This record gives sequence, C-alpha cells and structure tokens, in this order.
Amino acid sequence: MRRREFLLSTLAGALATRSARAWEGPLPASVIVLWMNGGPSHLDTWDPKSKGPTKARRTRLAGLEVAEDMPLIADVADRLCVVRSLSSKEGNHQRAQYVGRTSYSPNPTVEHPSLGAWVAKRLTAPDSGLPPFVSLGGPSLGAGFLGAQYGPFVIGKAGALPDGARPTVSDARLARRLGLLGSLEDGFSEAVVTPLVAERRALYESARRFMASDALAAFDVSAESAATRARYGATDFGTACLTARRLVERGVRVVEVMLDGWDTHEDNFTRVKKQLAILDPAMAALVTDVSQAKTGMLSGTVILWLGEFGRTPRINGRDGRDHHPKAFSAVLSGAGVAPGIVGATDADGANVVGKSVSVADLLATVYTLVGISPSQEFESPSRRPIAITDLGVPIAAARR
Amino acid sequence: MKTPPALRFEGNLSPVSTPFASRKKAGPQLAARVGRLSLWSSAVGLAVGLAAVLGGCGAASVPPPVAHKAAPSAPATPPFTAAALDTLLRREWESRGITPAPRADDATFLRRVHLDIVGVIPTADRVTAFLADKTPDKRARVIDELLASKDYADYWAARWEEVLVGGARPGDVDRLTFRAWLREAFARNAKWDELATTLVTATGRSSPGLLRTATLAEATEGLKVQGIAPAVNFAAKFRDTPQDFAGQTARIFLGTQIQCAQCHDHKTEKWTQAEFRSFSACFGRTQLTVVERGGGFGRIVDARDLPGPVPRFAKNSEVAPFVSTPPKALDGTSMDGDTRAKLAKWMVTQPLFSRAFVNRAWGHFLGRGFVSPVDDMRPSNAAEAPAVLEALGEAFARSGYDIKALVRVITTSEVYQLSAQLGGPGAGPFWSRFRVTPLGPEELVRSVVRATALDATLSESGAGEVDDLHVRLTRLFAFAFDVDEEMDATRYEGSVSQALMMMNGRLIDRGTAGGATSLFAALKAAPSDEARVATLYLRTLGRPPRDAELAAGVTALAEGARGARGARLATQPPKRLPKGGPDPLRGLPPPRAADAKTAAIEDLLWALLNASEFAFNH
Repeated sequence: MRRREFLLSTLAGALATRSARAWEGPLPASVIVLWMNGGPSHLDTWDPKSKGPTKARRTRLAGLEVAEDMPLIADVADRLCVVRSLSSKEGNHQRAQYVGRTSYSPNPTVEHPSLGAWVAKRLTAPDSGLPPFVSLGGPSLGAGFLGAQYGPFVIGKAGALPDGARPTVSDARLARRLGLLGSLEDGFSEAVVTPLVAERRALYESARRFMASDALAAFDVSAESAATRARYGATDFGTACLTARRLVERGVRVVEVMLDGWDTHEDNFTRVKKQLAILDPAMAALVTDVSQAKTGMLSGTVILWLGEFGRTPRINGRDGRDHHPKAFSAVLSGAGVAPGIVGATDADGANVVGKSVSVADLLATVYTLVGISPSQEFESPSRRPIAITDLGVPIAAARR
Repeated sequence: MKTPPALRFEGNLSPVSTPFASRKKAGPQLAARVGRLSLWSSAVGLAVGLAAVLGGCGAASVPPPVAHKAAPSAPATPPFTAAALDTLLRREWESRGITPAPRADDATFLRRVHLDIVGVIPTADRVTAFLADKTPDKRARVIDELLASKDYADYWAARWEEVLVGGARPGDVDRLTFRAWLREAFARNAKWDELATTLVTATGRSSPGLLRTATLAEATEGLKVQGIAPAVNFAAKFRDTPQDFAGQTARIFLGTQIQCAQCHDHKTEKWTQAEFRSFSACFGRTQLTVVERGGGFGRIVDARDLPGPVPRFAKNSEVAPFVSTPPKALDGTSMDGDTRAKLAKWMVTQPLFSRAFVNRAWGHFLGRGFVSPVDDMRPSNAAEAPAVLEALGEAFARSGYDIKALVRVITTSEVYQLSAQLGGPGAGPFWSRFRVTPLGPEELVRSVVRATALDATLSESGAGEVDDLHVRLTRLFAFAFDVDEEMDATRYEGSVSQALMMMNGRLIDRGTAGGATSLFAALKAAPSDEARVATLYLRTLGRPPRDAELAAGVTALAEGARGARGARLATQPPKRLPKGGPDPLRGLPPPRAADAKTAAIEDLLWALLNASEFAFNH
C-alpha cells in the first residue's frame, strides 16, 4: 500500500509533461514487441559469461558484450538498453507468457488486457483503416476485459495480405451485397431498441474501410527494395519485422512480432545459434530503421525484446538448458530510450546482483515511454480498480 | 431466531445478506425444508405450476406428489411457476412505474427460444409450422420439444465445457471426453447437485486416450472404458494450482469470487486471506498424477485423494500456504477427513449454490443476471430484484436442482417472452424489455451451418458428422470471437477480424456459394423469386419477409439475373489456420462458378447472414 502511494506521487510529476504531449495530437508513439516465444537463454544472447560455453563479442556500447552470433546487433548496440536484472516467479510457459504481456500473474477472476490492448485503447486510433494492434506470427494475447475491439489483429504469416482482407466476389457484387445489407440494417435498427446495432454497423464500416484501404499495402513487403528485404533477412521473422515497420509507418500503434523456438531443453547451443541467425539481421535492421527515422510515426517507436524467462546456467543431460525465471534479460530501443546496461547477474548468471527489475517495471517503462501512465486504474467488469501494470515502476536509467 | 431466507416466497423477503446457511441453524431449517419438499417436490410442483399458467387448471386436479422423504402433514406452499415469477417481476415494475414491452410475436419467440435452449436458429419448416399452428399452448409445447431434443444436450454441454474447462492448457484436459460426458449428463437431465458433486469430487482417470482425430462419437464410446472418470478433467485443469481449483469451484458453483484474497486482505472484500487458504486446503489433498503422456490429445491424469496435503504442493513454496492449513468450508466448518466429499456435501446445501446456478441461467436467458457479472455475488455487488433471485433459487433447490424444470419456468414466463421493442416510456430496466445480445461463436456457427444447409451438404457428401463440424468450426470462430459470455454486454464487442470473417471468411463463403449445396438445389427448384426470397428469410431470420422486403428481394434477384456480373472470383487458396489445424470444412464439395441468377441469390443470402438481425438474439 505504501509502495503504491509513493509510486503515484512520484509518477504523477514525472508523467505530467510526457502525458500532456501524448494527448495533444497524433504524436508519433508506437510499440513493436519482439516476443521470443519459449524463453530465450539470457546466457547465450545478452548476458554471456566468461566461463560459459558461449563466446562473447564486444559491441558498440561500452561495457556491453553479447553472444558472438549477434554481430549485426553488436554493431547497433549503442542504440540499445539491455536490462540484465529481470526477475520473475513464473517458470511455466503459459503463466509467464501472460505476465510478459500483461505484467500480472494469471488470476481466474479477471482477464487482464495485454500491453498491446492498453496501447490500442489509450492512444488515439490511426485514421488509416488499419487496426491499432497487429500481431504477426502468433496469436499474442487478447484484450481481456477491455473487449475484442482492442485485441490483436492476428496474422499467422507475414508477407502477404491477411486472411479475409479481400472480398471473395467482384467489387460490383460486393457493392450489391453491402447495399442489401444496408437495407436490412436500417429495418432492424427501427425494430429494436439497442445501441448494439449501430456499434456493429460501425464495425462493418471499419472492416469495409480496411478492405478498401491503401494502407493494406503495408502488409505486402514486395514493395520494398531487394536490398531492404535482404537487410531484414529472408525469413518469416525478418519479413514480419519489416512488415511491422511498414505498419507503424502507416499508423498502427502496436505490433507484436513472434519468434518461436527458444524452448531449448535439448541441443541448446545448436538451436540458439539457429535462432540468432534469424534474429540478428532482423532486429539490427529494425533498430537501425527506427533510430534513423527523424519524422513520422516510426520516429516515436519503442522496441521491446522479451520472452517468458531465461534459461538455467546448468546444462542438462541433453545439452539443453531449462526454465529460469529468477534472472534473465530484456532489451529496449527506440524513442526516448537511454542506451546502456541496467543491472547485472552473478558470475553464473543464476541470480540478479543488487536490485532486480520485475516484468511489471519493464512494461511500466514502455508505457511511460509512449506517454501512458502505468499506474492509472480502470474498473474491471466486476467494478474492481485494476491498474495498467501490477505496481510497475519505470526503470529510470532506461529513459532519456 | 431469524427466519431462514428465501424459504417462502409469498411473504416478506429478507434481502440477500446471509450468503451461507449457518451451521447452528441447520437443524430446524433443514426440517422445515424437508417438510416443504414433501408437497412441492420438483417435477410435480413445477408441472402443476405450468399447467396452472397455461391451462388455467388448479393444483387440485393434480394427483398427490410421489413420496419424498418427509412428513405428509406439512403445510402447503404454492408451487413456483412461471406465473409466480411474473407476479414477482410485475411487482418490481409496478413499484417503479415501469411499463413492460409488449409480448414478442411468434416468430421472434421461436427464434429466441431455439437460440437459448438449443443454441441454433429454427429450421424454415419449423418456423412455417409454428406460425400456422393455432393452438394456445404451442409455445409451451415447443419448449418441451426443444428440451427433449439431442440439440439441447449438445448445446448445454458445449456451454458448460467452456465454463468449466475453457482456457485450459492444451494437453492438460481431454475436452472431447469431457464434452461427451457432459452431453450424456444433460441428455438424461442429471440434477445440478449431482453434477456439481461429481465435478468437485471425481477420482479416476481423465481420459481413455483418444487420438487427436477422434470424433465425438468415439469419445462417447470411450466413456464406457473401465476406470474412466471424465469429470476429473475439471480438476486436471488445475493440476499444479489447487488454489485455482478452489477459486474456480467457489466462482462456478457458489457464484462467489474468493480469489481476490489470494495475495492479501482487501478492505472492501468479504473474504480474508485466511479463509481463502482454509478453503484452498480442501483441494490440496487431491493428487493428480500423469499416468500417460503424449499420444493423441495430451496427458492422461489419475486423480486420487490423500489423507493430508499432496507432498508436491507442500514442498512448493508458491503453493504450500494454500494447502497447509486445516481444510475448512467458507463458513468455517471443518472439512477434515473425507475432505472433497464433505465439501461437496456442504456446498450443494448452501442457498448460494442454488442462487449461483439460477443467476447464471437468468443471465443466459434474459441477457443480464440478477447479479452481474453472473459469478460475482457479494454484498458490495447488489442484486437487481433480489426477491426474485431468492425465490427462484429456493424453487430450484426445492425441485431437486432440476435443470430442465428451471429452464421451463423461465422460458414459459411472460418476462422472457417480452419483445425487444420499445413498450412505452421508461421501458428497459428490470428485464421489462428483452435484451438484444450478440450470438456467441457456438450459436453463430450452428446457425450459419443450419441456415446454409451445410450440415445436409456434409452428410450427403459422406464426409463426416455435423457434430464434429460444429466442434471444428467453433474452435476456429472462438479464436476470433473471443468474447466473455459471462459479462453483461452493454457494448458490441467486435473486432475487424470478426467482421472480415463474416464477410469474407470460409464458412460464409462456402455456405453462400451456389453449386453443389442442397440449399441451392432447393432454391433453384422453387417456383418463383417470391418463393426464393421467402425461403431465404425463413432460413436465416426465422420469419417471412415483410411486403417491402419481399418486393426488394424479388427486384434484387431479377436485376441480378439480368446483370452479367455473375462470375465469382477464384476461390481463395486454403489459408493458414491458428495452430495449424486441419481445414474445418474439409470434405465439403468446392464451390462452383455461379451464373447470374445464382450470384444474385448468393448475394442476398450473404446479406442476410451478415445482418444484425441474424447476428443478435432479440
């Protein structure tokens, strides 16, 4: 209780300026989450240890060493804030995925909205016909009690138009269909008394605009030059990261891009190497493009790299590493982010040395960076006040 | 001594303030209750009431109730009927000057009662026959017909599967076996106290080990395997978290959310952390052992009760606090010994047990529970019309927790049959006008399949069972239509994805595609455009078109036939599904290019399926 009051008073001041700016107009503020599904090994990515099997490589950020298989990322590391002191209690995938998206532990009595849903709700919707929250490569997590309209627009595989984005009949027939539908809706609106019909019609209008939108071209990366596509890498994840950039440029507020395959209970080292070959060009290209954007929506983008948890220093009998939520890493980059290293782990990478950072703190940092107060409370459907994050305190050192 | 609440409904009612029957008062209260049971035993009492409402005959003409465990000399209490329910609600309206909406017309009633009891719109033939039927008791008869149908069990099993094991990790729960078991239970009208007891206390193996491709019929066959206890799947959802098993049991069966007290006490909440822990401890002695991994759907677990806390829980510092205290019910009664059995016995005698079910059912049928959300009954979340809730809860308990009898009382009542149209000034509150609610994925899928005759097409092509088509399609739809049906929907919770799915998705695309489907064969054979338009309206909206609609429809078909714009776009290639599942529409014949006339019919059908009148229960 006392911690919360303290938070509120300090945050109120800190946020006043940023928040005020965020609401004045279409301030460029957006988030790209790189979700590392499965729980990436911190020891073989952002926090390699001298006595560990993974060799470290120096980077452009003084004092930061990362895994040797991350050369392109190392080259843009001066634009990164690497948080090495992340710690959580959830060592189960599903529960940790929930925490990583919402900052809350799962609780059957309330469905917490995900970061994407909160951003979609709190930042004004773009006027492009595109949905405010897009998930590429995975289902992500829904909007919980905020309602489906703030949930992710899910695209299984990036690179082409999403399912159902185009009518199955000619434009002339679609026009005829919509005309018939319009008459039916007019009749029903007169017959019953409810605001739901008007709301549903507005949704259909959004869908129609989406189908007709020029911004739909954002999903089609073939418009990018061969050189650009090559920078992101010829992988699904690379294509998705490039799509994320294109979506943000056209006004989408949150994009989550998923890279699966980090649950390395077996063959950790071979598998992490493969993962990094996918991640390295895509993330480096995205960080570069965001940091070079001077105007437009991309210039206000915050990138968050995060998975469920880290992996054990101990290598198991199958040359794998198991779940390790006690100490792991996350990375921030983009608008307002101060490059540097936050926190540290011990010689094995088993424990955080000094003050640890919670997932809620990390998400609170992201919210603060895009002008949303992480402690603001909303009423859940059972009329209980629920704050946007679970007592998260923004990491001061991560912000410029 | 205070009058036990909710035992009589004709007198003054005490407010819903004593959530649990006090142990000390249990003796006399129980005696009183047993006494009344003798005269107003479930089926008879409710049937009497129904007869009274519909035929005007009194209780006198009814034979004495079958023997129940009680004294024959107990005083008479009127049976709780739809009429009694209406009297109570009318009292609420009159005291507030509310004018209720008029009675819904026959077609609207038929569609509504189909959606609410069997989760699917009526067939065109059923609508026609119902509208032609001039007998005064036709509404009651259709309710009985629906309650006796296979669709009733199917639908209620689907709904309760979602409530009980929805959101379970894939692999933890054998949902198909669980669904098959629920379906059998609802088909034989298992009493709610019996079902709840089985769910809370089940021991044995969760699954016979089905293949991933298993059908519902195979799962039903699997129920006969020795040692299978399908109800264990409810517990299996909480294999690692007995505190969640406890919290969900309280939420689902007692409509009470105690889990807020998991972390610490709250000033405004009733339950303390100590109470939550003692209650959780009741579930901490159930060991769920994985006996088989992998294979078709996932793990098979075996549930068994130990005399003390499960060692795996006691050793886990996260779980230990919830299992190490002496087990107690929420009113403090010790549950030591045969813990889960004792707990179930305690639970099913609580007034809240009955009220929780009644409130959920009310929310289902009337669009908003007495308490909303339906599973959050607490002093600080007051019930709307608490007297009605108590009376209905009491009647449900007295009926022996007869689910079909409760459904019959609610759906034969006037309040359920009100129109969604404006009745007069002030109409709306206290269910004085029917609430318009969006169909959930379950109802939407079943209704699209029925309206488009995809079921007939599927069985004609010999590609599979319609039950399995429903399961597959609902999974696909539930993914996009992720709505919380326990919420009181005051806003339309839609997403662009949903609208796109209805406009361009495969189910609608296939369902509206002319060519090989039995629907289009019938439409083509129809004698006139008038007949075609009428059929389309009956199939989709469950009513004949109004004059203006008929004229507009005929014009649309005629103009469409003259236009040369019949060509369909190339059928979209199979698209990737979430989690790489197989095509839910596999086995259906592919759509063919349409001639101009067929295209015009396709377009009208598409518009009808996308209309709000189709998408809402009204």
